[in-house]
Amino acid sequence: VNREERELRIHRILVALDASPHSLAALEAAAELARRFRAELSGLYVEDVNLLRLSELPFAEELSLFSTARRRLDRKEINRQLRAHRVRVRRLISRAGEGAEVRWTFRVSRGRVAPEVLQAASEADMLVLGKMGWSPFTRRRIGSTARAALAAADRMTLFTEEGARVRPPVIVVYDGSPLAQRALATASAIVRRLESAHRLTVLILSTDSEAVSQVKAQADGWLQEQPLDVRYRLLTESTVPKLAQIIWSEEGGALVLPAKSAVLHDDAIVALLRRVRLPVLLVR
Amino acid sequence: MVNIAMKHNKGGTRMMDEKRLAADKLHQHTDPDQFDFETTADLPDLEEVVGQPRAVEAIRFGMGINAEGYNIFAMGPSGTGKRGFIRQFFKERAGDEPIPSDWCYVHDFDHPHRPSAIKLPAGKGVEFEKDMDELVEELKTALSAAFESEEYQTRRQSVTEELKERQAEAFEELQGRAEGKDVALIRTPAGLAVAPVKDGDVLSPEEIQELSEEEQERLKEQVSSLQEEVQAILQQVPGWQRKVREKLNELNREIANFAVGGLIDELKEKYSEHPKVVEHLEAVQESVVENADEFLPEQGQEEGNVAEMLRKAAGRSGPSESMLLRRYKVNVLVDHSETEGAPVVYEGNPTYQNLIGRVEHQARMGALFTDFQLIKAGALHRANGGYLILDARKVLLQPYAWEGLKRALSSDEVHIESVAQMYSLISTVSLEPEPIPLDVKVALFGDRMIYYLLHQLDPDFSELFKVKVDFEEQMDRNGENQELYARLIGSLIQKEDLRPFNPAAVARVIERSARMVGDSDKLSTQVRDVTDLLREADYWAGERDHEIVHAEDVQQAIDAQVYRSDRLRERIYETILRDTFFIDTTGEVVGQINGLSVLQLGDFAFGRPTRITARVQLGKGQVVDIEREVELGGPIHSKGVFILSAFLGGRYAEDRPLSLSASLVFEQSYGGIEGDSASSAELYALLSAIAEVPIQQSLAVTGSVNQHGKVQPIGGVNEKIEGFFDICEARGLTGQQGVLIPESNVKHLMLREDVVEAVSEGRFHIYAVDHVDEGIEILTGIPAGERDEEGNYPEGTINHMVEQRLDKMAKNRKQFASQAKSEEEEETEEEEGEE
Repeated sequence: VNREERELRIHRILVALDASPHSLAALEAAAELARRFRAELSGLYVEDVNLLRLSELPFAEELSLFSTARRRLDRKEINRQLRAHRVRVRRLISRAGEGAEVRWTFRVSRGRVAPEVLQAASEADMLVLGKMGWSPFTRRRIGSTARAALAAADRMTLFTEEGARVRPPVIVVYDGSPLAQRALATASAIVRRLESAHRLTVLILSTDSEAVSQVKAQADGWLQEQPLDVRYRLLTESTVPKLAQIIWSEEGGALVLPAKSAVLHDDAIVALLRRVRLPVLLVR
Repeated sequence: MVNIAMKHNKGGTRMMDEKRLAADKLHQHTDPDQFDFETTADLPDLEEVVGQPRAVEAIRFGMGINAEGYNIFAMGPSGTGKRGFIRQFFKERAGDEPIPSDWCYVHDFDHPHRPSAIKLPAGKGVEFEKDMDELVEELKTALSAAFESEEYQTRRQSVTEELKERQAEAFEELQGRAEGKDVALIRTPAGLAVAPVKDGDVLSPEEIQELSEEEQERLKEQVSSLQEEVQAILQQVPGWQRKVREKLNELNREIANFAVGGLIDELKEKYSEHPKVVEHLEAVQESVVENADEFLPEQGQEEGNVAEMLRKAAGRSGPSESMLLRRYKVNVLVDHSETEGAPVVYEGNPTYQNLIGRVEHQARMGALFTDFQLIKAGALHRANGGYLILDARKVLLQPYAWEGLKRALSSDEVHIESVAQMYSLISTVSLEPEPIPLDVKVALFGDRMIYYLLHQLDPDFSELFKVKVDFEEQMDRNGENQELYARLIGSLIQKEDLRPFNPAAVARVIERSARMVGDSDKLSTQVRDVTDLLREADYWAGERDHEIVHAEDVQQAIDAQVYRSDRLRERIYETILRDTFFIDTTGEVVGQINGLSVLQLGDFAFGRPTRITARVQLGKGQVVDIEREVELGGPIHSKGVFILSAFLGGRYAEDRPLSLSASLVFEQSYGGIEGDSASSAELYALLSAIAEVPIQQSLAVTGSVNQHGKVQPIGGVNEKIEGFFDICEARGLTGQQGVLIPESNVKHLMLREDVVEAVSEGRFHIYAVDHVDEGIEILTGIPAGERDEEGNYPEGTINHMVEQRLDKMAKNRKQFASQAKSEEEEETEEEEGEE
């Protein structure tokens, strides 16, 4: 496989927007990557069909988050609110796209949020979305759309949360699998575009100490051809707290993970996602 | 008694010889030999003040007495050296007095518009300022270290997390409860809603329709009960948030207190003797802890923040630098770190603000801004604890300055108030700085007129300026004082850095000084005029390459002074000499006499002869002053003329009506005339006119006269004599010419050298007369005459002739009167006949 083919191609980045703080972080990250990869920034706003249904229920009522006052929710009201959101989201993406000096598009669809997002994502090279939606009670939770994306997205997906930006150094998890190889290539591509120092931290995961050095040699073999400043951290104990601790101590600015791993189970990936604050890119 | 009427001969009468003054009476010379120095360089410096014993006594008293209202007013004409005198006395005393305290203004954290004043020992103010500046710098470092510390960040995070967790727990519990009941919480764009769900999707209306009524009802209940629970939780959120904020504040305070406490305690220890400083430091600590975040480097400033952009555009740093940290600084209003003794301040421009101090404003982003740092001290602040010297006239000329000064003195404190604010002329934010206690001795100096006007018109004045220091403008001229005066001249020469004067030059200066006050027995204490003369004499000595100043240099200086000022005198003399302005200096004329007047032009005075004429005719006994009739004569002049009528009436017409009408006029006078110094001349002209005896035109007369004919002294005698002399000399002295002066003016004679010379050579004469009888004899050559035992004047005397003429006039008048009466009766009869 030659280098060009190995190198990741990202032409279109889809960002799912609902105007929540987390989705703003997603927009920022997406714009940053679009700028680095000269990719098209594509925004999607989904008008939740559940909200429209809710407004048609005879007893539909809305509680204000600030005043806690109740008020009747009807179709017109919901439409007005959705329109306001749309306008706002459009403005945000236009600003982000122009700021990043990339081509940008904006699309509105109506339906159930997760399926709409996943479907739109299949037409892009990367999906970017907030870990949570508009939930008012921000604990380390993964929102329903993010869960759906974790489970079913067929494109690499970047999960962001409020206050975290994509920045060097990048940390990549490598367990020797082909998917991990792809993660390594992706991470390498991002690093090369992100900063001149080209810092990359590779977390070598394996179940035992013998395999670890093999895996490391494997990564090293590929990375030697890359103009990168690589650091290795070898781990035989791949618990979530341990990983989180290493990521924190490395002061990582982005985490690249293979979406499936023999060493890191799906639940562990969800748990890790909940635990760390930095943007996490799941590579498929 | 034998009265011989003697016809006047050109050689002069006995009276002339009797009254003629010897040359040595005309000018009191100062003998240079009385001085035992070679030049003034040998003279010791003069420590004491010359010729002002009263002023010295008064100022000593004024400085010594330490009671309210005993401020000083030094009065006297300008040029007497009042300011230098006061300063010299104040300086002498202030040198031994303690240095007063420094005063600082600091921010008052409870009342930001009222900066508080802090008193510190001399020199400590600047130190305190420096300490506070350093403290602020150290606080910045200490606080940012504390707030960036791991410990703080962790504790802060844990506090915020607590809130989030609490909220999340509550809602997760709700969510859990809802899940079992086919309802779910849904986020709407503007809030929260509870909806019936099935497989994660909200039921559509159709699906609900399909449900049984019971189920629908149940669903509704579930929705509404969950809604209520949600509402209950939401209502608690603000409370939780507040608690978090409180906890964060508490944490901030704890950290800040820890970081700041040590630094401030050090200063508190250092200034423990000054409770007000300690109090201020405590307030500073509190404020720093409250506003700890202001000290931290700014982060995450939203771009596009207008205020921030403006600040950047204005080239200023954020608010923390310019506005907030300023509050911890110290404004040293009065700094005595380099003062020795008590201050002696002279304020040359005593505006209200320069006296009382002011609060300045700065333009910031188009608005006017001020704070305690912009309070500026006034002269009262600087002189506090010492002495302040002010020019009374200047203080009175400046709007509100006088009132401000009085207010400060009577309240014993300086209260900085803006005049513009007082009168609502500006309406920017301003400050009311805490008043500063005032303990100052003020000395005003000014003209006597100002003193008396203030005394009369301003009731506060006598309360506040109880010590009057009255300056003499002249001093006695005796041997001892001349010695002293020589030393004064020596000191002035030294002070002005002039060439030394030899004794003859000093003597000439002293003579000139006597002439300045127009009195041979007095000397001028107008230091300014004397200094001018010294300076100019030095200049002329330089022009002549003299190492030391000689008498001729002094004379040259005097002549040059006169020459520079006498353009108008020359023009007037020229009109006389060219016979445009008629003055006879030879021959004799009836009813015409040369009077003498003085013109004062600025600092230069000169005498001028004026022709006075008198005409008489039959009348009702009045002397008409033509000057008065046309309102060219002043009241004193009129008074003199009325005295003449009284004299005539009293002397010659005791037993019959004074039946003449006389008119007196100053010929060719087109300006106003004031003063009575010509009244004797007018009387002589009148007597001459009545007696029809001519008056010698070679003589000029000055002196006023009283009702009994006594000649009284007048002013400007020297100028008057010199004025007539100059005219006569220009025409050529005949040896007959001279001036009649009152005898009482002889002591004032300090005549020019050339006049004295002419007199001693018999070319010019000065007669000192005491009574008009003496004067008329000199002027006419005919004795006045005295009444004999029968009360008659001897024949051939002036008085006899006057009496005869008046008698004749009275008879004529009587005749006229009876004639007129009979005519009148005839007229009356005619009128009656017509009826």
